[in-house]
Amino acid sequence: MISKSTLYKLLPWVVTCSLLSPIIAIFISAFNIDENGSFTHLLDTVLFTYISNSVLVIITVVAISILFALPSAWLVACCEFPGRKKLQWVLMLPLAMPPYIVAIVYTDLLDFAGPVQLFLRSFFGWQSVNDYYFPDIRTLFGASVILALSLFPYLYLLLRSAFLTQSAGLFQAARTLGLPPTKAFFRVSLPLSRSAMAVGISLIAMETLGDFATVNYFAVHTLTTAIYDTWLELGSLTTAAKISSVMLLVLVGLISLENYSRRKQRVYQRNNSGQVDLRFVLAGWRKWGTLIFIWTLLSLSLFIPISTLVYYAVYYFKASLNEELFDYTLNSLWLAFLVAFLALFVALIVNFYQRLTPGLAAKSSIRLSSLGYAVPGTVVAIGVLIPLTNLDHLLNDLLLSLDLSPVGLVFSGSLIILVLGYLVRFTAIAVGSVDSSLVQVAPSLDLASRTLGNGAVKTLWRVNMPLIRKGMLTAFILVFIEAMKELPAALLLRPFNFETLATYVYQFVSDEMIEYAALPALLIIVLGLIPFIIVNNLLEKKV
Amino acid sequence: MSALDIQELSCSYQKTLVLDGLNLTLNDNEIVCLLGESGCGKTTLLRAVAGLQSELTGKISIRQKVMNDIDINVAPEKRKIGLIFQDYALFPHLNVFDNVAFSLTSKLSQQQKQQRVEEMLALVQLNEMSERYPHQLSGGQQQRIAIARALAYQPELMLLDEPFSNLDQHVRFQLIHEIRLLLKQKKMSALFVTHSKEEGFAFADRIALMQAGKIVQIDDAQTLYRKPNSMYVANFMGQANYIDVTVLDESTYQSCFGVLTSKHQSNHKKGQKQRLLLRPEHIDIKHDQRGDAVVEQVDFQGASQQIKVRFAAQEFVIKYSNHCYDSVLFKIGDKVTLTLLEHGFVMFD
Repeated sequence: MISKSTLYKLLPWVVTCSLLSPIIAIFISAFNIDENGSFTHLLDTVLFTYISNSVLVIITVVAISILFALPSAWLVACCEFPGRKKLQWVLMLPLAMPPYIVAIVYTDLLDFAGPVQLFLRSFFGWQSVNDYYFPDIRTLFGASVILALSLFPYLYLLLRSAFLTQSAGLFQAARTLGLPPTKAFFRVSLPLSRSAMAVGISLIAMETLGDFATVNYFAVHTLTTAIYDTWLELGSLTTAAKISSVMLLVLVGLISLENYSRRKQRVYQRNNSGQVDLRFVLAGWRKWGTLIFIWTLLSLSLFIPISTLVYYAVYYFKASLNEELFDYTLNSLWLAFLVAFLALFVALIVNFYQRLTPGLAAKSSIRLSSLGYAVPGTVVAIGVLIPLTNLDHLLNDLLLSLDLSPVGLVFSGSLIILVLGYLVRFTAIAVGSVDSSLVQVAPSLDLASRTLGNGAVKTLWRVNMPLIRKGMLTAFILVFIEAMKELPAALLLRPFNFETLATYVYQFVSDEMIEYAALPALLIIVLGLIPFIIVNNLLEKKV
Repeated sequence: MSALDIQELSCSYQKTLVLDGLNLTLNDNEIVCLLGESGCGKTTLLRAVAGLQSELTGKISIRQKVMNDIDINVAPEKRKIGLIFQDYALFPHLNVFDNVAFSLTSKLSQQQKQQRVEEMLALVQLNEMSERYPHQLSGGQQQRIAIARALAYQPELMLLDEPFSNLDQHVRFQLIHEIRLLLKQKKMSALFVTHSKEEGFAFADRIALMQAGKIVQIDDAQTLYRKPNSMYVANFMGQANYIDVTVLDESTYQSCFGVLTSKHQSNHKKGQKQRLLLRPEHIDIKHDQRGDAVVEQVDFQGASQQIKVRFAAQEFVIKYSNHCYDSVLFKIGDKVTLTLLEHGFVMFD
């Protein structure tokens, strides 16, 4: 009989290990023998192209994101212009736009038969392709622009808060020492925000590395598409795992950059209440330039894609509104709910473990359970496939040896694998937000409760839980949003005939049927935006 | 030539008047302290002089150059001032050398820069620290670097915003004297903001006491303490007892201590009621079995005792110096007599 306290100590580790198993599995099978030589074959032929494409896409996306995010963050944080308060908030919303949906919109708008080229032809009287030059969006650069349009808010948010929390005194000190505002920006504000910049860049790089749908749609072959193809087309799990481990190595680099920069940032940010009472009031060409820049950015990333989708959704409303749509929306919703609930549960377990028994063990359980956050959906998928197919084989062999009839793929062929895959990927988000609200609860409160006769677990229940309700809700909603959007893991892990909204949309996207993709795509966006707005309100009202 | 001249300066912030038609002139090589409770507008005044405050009316000139007036608001970088912050505001991404060299333009050669920075670091006695980063320095060292950085810019006027309030007591007064000496040595005029009168006493030549956006009195420390022009000033500068007196003639007054005679003549009318200021050190206290005053509270403070005494239905705070080892100790309930020592006959209506 296991005692109750052993159970409390065991539970966090059971959870942590199961979340970690896919990553371990990938590294183990990366050392497996290359059964049919397909990895060697890849290595000899296209692997290098895949890697260089991945790196090129990352560099381009990061560069364009800086171009978008740096000016908008600074303008919004340090200047005053009409609509600033609203706009600083709207600038985060492109995060809710899945890039592959933005991709299909722009392909539709900019293709030869699209409205933009149609207009140009009729306006200038051009007859055929040969009469004029028009940039092709279906390129590596096109994919990068699309990705940057929906990823730049990561950098924007970090830079904005860096500019806001930099002690206003530093900027003023620079000015009283003889520097005009622009020079003060380049010599003080910008260098001070470089660690925020590095964190933002590494986040964007991770997201880009993990993107599957956009690059695949534009036929740019990267590491993610390679994993997808080797598993679904070649059926070689080992090869997919080997490519995955290459990706994980790149990720380790990015994560270390992120961690290092986050630590450095603490030195740069004093807890100065950030009184930016001296916003530059923009006037004349500066004001108009700012407004044009920000509104163009928002139009490209938000308004144009959404209005195009609305147009198609209205136009093809009858054809899109069918039972399938209803079923898949329901699938997405309950899957996201379940995953968010489980992720929150796991987050509470590991965080409370840390609260009750602080120390290296607890800390590493938090760290390890959060490792999956940077791992792309495709890699996570391969990672959970390995242990669960093995488990299935073991189970069936066991049943056969007992003269019972085999049960088939109960783990890897069912929703269990999908839920596990999502959990591996998203638990970190929940752990992070529960952690950050739990550290704000003063340890003296625990002690007070303990001295007033409550046990450790009872204290968690009566004191800590009520105090971190907001953090719990945030954790739940954030995981929910991500799970609604997740595509690659769903594509690789879903059971036969199971569709989510994302896979449903993607199917139309790859068939270039934007008219049918529009309504479900809008649904994804709206179902992501609403909770996003709720979370934002929650976080703004910090008590 | 005046280092700073402020005329009729007003400033409102969110519809409340923070500065209310304020006038102030700083002489050459003079250090003036702006003293006052928080919210009296002293920091706003400093920021206004630095060019960091908007919504101003009135006129500010630094060394006869107009900085603020109708339609004039010179940018902070064009004012040639040195501003010292409470949180030091050293650039955390630059080491000490680069912080001090921050304002040195490219017109100077590398060698000239080096020389200027070394000279400044020598002034604040931190030559060995030039490679360090701000977070590797103590608070006092950081503030000295901030001073060096401001001096390297060769400002026309120094502005110091509560520069010592983040420092420990024992470092604080040492640094105050050090920096005062430095400013005097450099013949620098300075405006210094604080809420602590002890800092003001130690650092400034003149102290301007502010209340609700106005300067209520500006004088040297002694005058402010001894000849306050209002009860607000009297109370701000130190402990005060007040007794009611009735004017008998131009130099004698009736009080609970009997008839008091002043050396100076006043123009008060006979029979007028006045309140006389008595500082704790103006009253002498002696044990006396038949005394009509009773000790209510005693604080032993080392060099002195602060004693609360009830006399004539009123409470008096008295400072008794412990001159020698076996000086008299007072206990609660002791019967005592009080006598007035020589004082300045400061009276309010």
